[in-house]
Amino acid sequence: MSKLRNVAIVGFAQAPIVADDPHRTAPEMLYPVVKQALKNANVERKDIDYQCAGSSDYIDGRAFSFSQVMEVMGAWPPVQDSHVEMDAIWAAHLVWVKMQAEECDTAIIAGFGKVSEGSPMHVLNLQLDPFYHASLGLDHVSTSALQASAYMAKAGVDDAGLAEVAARNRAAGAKNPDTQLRQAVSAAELQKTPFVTSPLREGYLPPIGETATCLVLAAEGKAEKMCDKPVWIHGVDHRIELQTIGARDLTSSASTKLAAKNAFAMAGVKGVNDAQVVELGSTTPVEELILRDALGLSSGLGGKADGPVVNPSGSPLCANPLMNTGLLRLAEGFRQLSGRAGERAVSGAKRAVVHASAGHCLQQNIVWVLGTERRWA
Amino acid sequence: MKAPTSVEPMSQRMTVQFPYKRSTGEVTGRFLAGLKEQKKIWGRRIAGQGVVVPPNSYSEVDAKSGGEWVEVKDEGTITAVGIVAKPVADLHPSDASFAYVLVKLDGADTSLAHIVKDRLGELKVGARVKAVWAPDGERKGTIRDIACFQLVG
Repeated sequence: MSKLRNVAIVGFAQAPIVADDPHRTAPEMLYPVVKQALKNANVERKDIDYQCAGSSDYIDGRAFSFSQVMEVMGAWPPVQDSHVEMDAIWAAHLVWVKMQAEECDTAIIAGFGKVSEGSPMHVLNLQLDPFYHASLGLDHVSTSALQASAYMAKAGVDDAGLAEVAARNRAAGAKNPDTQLRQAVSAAELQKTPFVTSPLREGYLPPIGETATCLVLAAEGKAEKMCDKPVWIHGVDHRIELQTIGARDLTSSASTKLAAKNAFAMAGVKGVNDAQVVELGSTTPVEELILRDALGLSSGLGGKADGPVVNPSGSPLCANPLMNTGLLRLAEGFRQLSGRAGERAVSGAKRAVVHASAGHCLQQNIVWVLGTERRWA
Repeated sequence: MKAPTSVEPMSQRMTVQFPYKRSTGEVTGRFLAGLKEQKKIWGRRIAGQGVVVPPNSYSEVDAKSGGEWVEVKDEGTITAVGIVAKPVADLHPSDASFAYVLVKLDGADTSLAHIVKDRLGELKVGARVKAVWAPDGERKGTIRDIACFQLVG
């Protein structure tokens, strides 16, 4: 791997994740978050070269919805701005590429979306092929259930296994003051919750939630002045799979496997066990099991805990604010490696692997490797 | 008089609609014409994937066009199943509990997404199902020209 530019996460802020913020618009939710993120990075807006947001017109119910937050992000006097119609973690990737091209040294990345204003089931149906999938009314819970059933039949994992994974995440979420569901719930209790779309129960699915997030990235030379403990990006890659759900092997994640292989090579690490923390963008217990397998982690089922700590944040099962869910995984990696994880801090954490996903049934996957030290001399 | 100093949360209900008349394109069109005109299910043989049902305009594996058309059976094996407990209005295709399934039709190498409405408790991966066709005169050239699938036996 040739030498790349050292880029670090130097600040993060988020709004509380709630089911519904009835008082504020999406820009009003984001405004104080951007201010706080800049403050956390010890800079003013004029010190930032570039801004990029991740949001969805379908969630916001308006065209060019990103334009409503340009002022909120501080695009005055005019600055460079871009946008991805994806989770904001992909905006962070875009900015990382811009920094590799030396087009900017500092940037803010924002995620926003008032999920409560629309209907996620209807919105996420529109991600699918219009003739073969969307017109059947398929939604993200149903496609996740299809994936879960296929995986459970192949892997021999039962309802109790799903409950165990969900309970483990709920226990972790109870220690995360920034997540939405903060009560630990036992596997037995979760197994009593009703099916939404079997085999997925209410207790195995994230709550509806919304927030606004802002991450600050900076290149070497500036990053050190902005943060006491910058968290350096050692490697990143993202890969996508076939759109046709029935044409994929839903029981494994080939794209995560490939993205991880490439990200690990860039980072110069052998594998996931070189990290102390792994944060996965899994929105169901089955997604977590598939991702663990793709990354080379054990399932953790049966109470076995070996290797890195997985999902110390509680994972998206405790909070899944669309367009922010992935960026929150990157933020967890930052918090864990920069001494900002409070009670849930993984002791001695020096390297983290962060994953996020987009589309139905883990269609697209991004894998990051983060570290406390610079990657390239 | 002063402007209001505080307000209760206010909201306005809005329905944003975007009606479309989408062209199916040739490949999807021929597949749908098979359902409508022939009550037959056609797939295409694609390098690296085998017989793909339903077929796409271009290979999802290598973006090539073309591929031999192959008729497959309207009966096959369930590869995935999810039972929707409470259907959502204006989205799901049934008012009562129903199942989404992926079905690998006999002769196909990929699975077709569809629905099952009866005997939901007996559905499982590996179960055999057969297409129930919409009656003559009611098929419109959509995936719902197969009304649903039902368990065999």
